[in-house]
Amino acid sequence: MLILGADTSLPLLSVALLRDGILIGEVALEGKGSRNEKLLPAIDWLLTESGVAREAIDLFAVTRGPGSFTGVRIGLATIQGLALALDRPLCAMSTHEAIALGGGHDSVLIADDAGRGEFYISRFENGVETIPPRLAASVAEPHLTIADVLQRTNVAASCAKRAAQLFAAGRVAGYADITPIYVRLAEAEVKLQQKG
Amino acid sequence: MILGIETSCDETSVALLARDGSVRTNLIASQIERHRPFGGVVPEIASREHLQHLFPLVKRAIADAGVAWEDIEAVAVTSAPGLIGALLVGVAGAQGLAYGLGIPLISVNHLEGHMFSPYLQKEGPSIPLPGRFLSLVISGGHSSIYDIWMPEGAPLVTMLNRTRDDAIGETFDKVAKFIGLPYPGGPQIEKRAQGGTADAKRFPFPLPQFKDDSIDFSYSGVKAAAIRFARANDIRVEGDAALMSDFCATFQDALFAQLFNRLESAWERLEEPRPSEIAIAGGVAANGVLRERIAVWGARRGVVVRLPEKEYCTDNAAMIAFAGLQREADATDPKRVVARSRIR
Repeated sequence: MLILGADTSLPLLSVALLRDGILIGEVALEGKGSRNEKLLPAIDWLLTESGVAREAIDLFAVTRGPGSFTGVRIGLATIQGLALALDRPLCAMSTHEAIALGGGHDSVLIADDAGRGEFYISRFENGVETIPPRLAASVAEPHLTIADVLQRTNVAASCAKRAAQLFAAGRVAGYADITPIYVRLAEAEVKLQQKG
Repeated sequence: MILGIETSCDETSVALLARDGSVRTNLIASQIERHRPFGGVVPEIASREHLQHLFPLVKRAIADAGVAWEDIEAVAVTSAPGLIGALLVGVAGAQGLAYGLGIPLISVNHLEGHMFSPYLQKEGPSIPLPGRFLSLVISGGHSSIYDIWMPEGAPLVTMLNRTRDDAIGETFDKVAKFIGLPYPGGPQIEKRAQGGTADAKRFPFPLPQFKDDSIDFSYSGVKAAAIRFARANDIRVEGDAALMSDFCATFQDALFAQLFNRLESAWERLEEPRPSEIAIAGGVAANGVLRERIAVWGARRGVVVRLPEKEYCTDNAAMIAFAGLQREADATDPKRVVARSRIR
């Protein structure tokens, strides 16, 4: 069972390969600029240097935000293209779920800097998402900050690990929704609502 | 078989094109309604819509055309110019598909898609491309004449002129809006011009000439004059209909007078052997008066005039796949594709 995980929603773009639940390779790169110029080169390098043919991948795991709008779209579009071309299933999950449940934090409050003095937060309790990603003005309780996580953990590897758990539990089919988790509306929509 | 993908602005389009240029399927998901409340295309919303529509369209195109994945030899995608976030959805999707299929990816310049589009037919193979042709791209965003050579390998495209300010379609739209006609203004002006008589004495529009020997277009002077005349004569949609018609006829005449003036200059400057055909592309190519005049222009010079089918006038992936077919020699590794909002 070979899983390719990818995350392009966060400032560090990452890709990882998991074989039978064991991490066999990972790449992380600063995502500045257009992430499409880094994602496939990173995937290709990882596959080539790991001696893995693309056809050998059984499952694609990808994050769908919250995070960079354009970054999330690039990840989802690229991975969907790969999964469709290779006729393999796809497991798309919230970036926070990948970090929490794929990273071994079964009960945790995840917080990410959303800019403009706000935070994207999610809560997990005993391995279950109890608060899906949303905006918060502040985070008072003890929490896991994504900026810190990024310095310690490869998020794509966490994403692949979470996909492995879901696959083992027969739950991958429930993760076929590829809609990005934007949390925020497009700026123009906010303005239109304020007017109306 | 070439798979074409277009996401540069507000239409998501996917097409399958056979090597002989026949369009097997050309699907378009338009976002016009989604952007209407905002009075223009919102880039972030366009990008969101593209991602929702892209892969459902890819799957439907494959199913509709009854094509197997193995039949697809290359993916052609618009990589510039356009809205960067919108372009990136199509480019990333195309990269994933091409890499997954192990086939080349062809980066297509959206404008080249339009340039070649008059050679696509509703049914059957494309019209054979001549060794050299002129392309006139006239739309709300562009006004340019191109000289296109088709040697073995990749086309050689030379831009002969451009607009220094407003595009011709933009001028139609802005003046139409000023006199109270709805968007898009071109067809509205054309409709009202039909009953009118052009009167260049009453409405003396300028024909801009530059100090150097440039043959660039410039429509801002015509626009300013139109607005001045409309204001001075109280030309409004709810006003005198006959006056409105005469004004529209004269205004439309002035736009085309400049177009043909530049086309004639460009033609005179071309070295022999001159192009055997002229292909017209862009929204303004739908104008009936233009179609008549260009036919006369071509007949007088022995030049074949090619006009696009209606379905290939607006943004579509069939023309992207077709331009990709011409650019197959420039196909790249799917890993190395750069999307750009502008052409350098």
